[in-house]
Amino acid sequence: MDQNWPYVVAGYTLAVVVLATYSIWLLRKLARARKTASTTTK
Amino acid sequence: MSVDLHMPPRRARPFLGFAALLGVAATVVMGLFVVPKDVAQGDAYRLLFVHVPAAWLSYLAFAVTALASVLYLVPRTRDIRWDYLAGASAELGVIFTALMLAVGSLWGRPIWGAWWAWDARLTTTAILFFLYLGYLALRRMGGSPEQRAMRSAIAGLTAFIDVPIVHFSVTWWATLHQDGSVFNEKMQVHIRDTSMQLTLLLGVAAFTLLYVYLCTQRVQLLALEEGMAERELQAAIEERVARSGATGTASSAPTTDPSTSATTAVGV
Amino acid sequence: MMQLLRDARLVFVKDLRIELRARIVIAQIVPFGVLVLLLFAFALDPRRGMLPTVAPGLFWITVLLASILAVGRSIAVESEHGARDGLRLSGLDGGAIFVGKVGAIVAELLALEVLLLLGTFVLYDVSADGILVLTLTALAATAGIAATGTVYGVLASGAKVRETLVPLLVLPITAPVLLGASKAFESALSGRSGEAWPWVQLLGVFAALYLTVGFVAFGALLEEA
Repeated sequence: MDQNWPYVVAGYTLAVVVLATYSIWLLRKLARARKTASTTTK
Repeated sequence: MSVDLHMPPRRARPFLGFAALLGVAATVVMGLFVVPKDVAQGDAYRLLFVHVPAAWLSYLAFAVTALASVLYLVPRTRDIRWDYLAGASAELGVIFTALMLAVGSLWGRPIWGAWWAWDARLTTTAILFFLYLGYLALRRMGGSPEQRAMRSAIAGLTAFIDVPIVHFSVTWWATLHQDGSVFNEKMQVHIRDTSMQLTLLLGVAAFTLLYVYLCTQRVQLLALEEGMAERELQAAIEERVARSGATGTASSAPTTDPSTSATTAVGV
Repeated sequence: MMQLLRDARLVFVKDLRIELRARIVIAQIVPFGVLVLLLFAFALDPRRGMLPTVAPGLFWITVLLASILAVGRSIAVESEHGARDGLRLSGLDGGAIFVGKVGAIVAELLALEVLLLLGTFVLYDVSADGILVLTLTALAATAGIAATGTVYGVLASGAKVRETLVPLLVLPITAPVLLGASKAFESALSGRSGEAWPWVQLLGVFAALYLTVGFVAFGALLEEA
């Protein structure tokens, strides 16, 4: 563990946070859209 | 629907998502804890395992966008779903590109002592980032789905053609800067250890799985939203017709073709 | 083929004639360009002596910014008085219209570039073979910029946000032109013209590529917008 660890941790955290946020946003929107779609289809 | 988008079947998708999640988690664990220190760069090089997969995926995503754009432009294979794919892939491409740049910057800081270096790959990627940001902005322009699709397809192709030109010109330019400074030390590491090789491969595979999964879901979301807008419009029209029929007025219902409906402000 | 050239010339002459009467480029865009060059010089502090070094890059950034305005103007000309419908119904070939419009923009930008170059000459000497490189560079680079600008200008022309969208689209795609033209100018202006040729070739390829794209796509784009 040398002095560069903060950068490494920052990088990995950034990647995980960004991808997780996008995924969660997408899946939630999708779930909502599916629900609305099933209620508006005749 | 005569065109097969070759998307993963619906039932397989949760497994795909789970596999992607596992893969990414494994990469993180291995990259942070399992692989040994590098001789030259110490621990900083561990960012390679995020930087390289992100780079690979950004190129893949934009290639998919270009391909989908072509498939939309060719009359025989024209299908609105290619447009959805192009948009979804570009969105992911922008994310991976931004990630690649950010992680590259975080890697460069301890290695070069600077947050940014004008090396060929970073500079090319920065330009790529803005190319596709513009593409996404163009997609939000509005108009009918077909107009947006045609517009985006041409823009997507135009942008993609530029990529090799940008790559060549920036690479030539970078080689002119042989001033022997530390910036010439490329962000490359000698992958000697098998655990390093494995982790890199794992990272690329995991990110690819994630891309495929997210792209599939994004396409579905676009399709649903667009379909919903059409259905809502159709429902509104029918309701209007029913109302005017009930009150006995002879107002003629506008026969609107849903596919040329007004603004579809939803979706990308 | 002859018909295409004739159609293109028709549009070319029309656009230039409109410009000569309205004088937008001459009275607004050219001054804008010179002003930008001046402001850059201010901002970079002329007394520090780095103007000769940065002049090629500044020159081309200025041209690029001015070209966005010129393209915007070229597209705007068609939105008035139903001119675009007139263009569509005229039976002129879409590709020919594209070539004509690009030609007009190139002519306007070249006028600006000559002026800017005069301004740059005030800073230092140019050797004889430098002029050839400068001319070829300017032609190829301007053609490439005008071509991509016109394609994106028409792509975005339906939007109310066209004016803010077009720069975001055009500037990244013309980054290689900026790079190549600046390097070529740099070589020419420092007496090392031989080094410029790879860049001039790159500019030529870029221009040829996007002139082709525009030529093929413009007809369809006119219909959509």
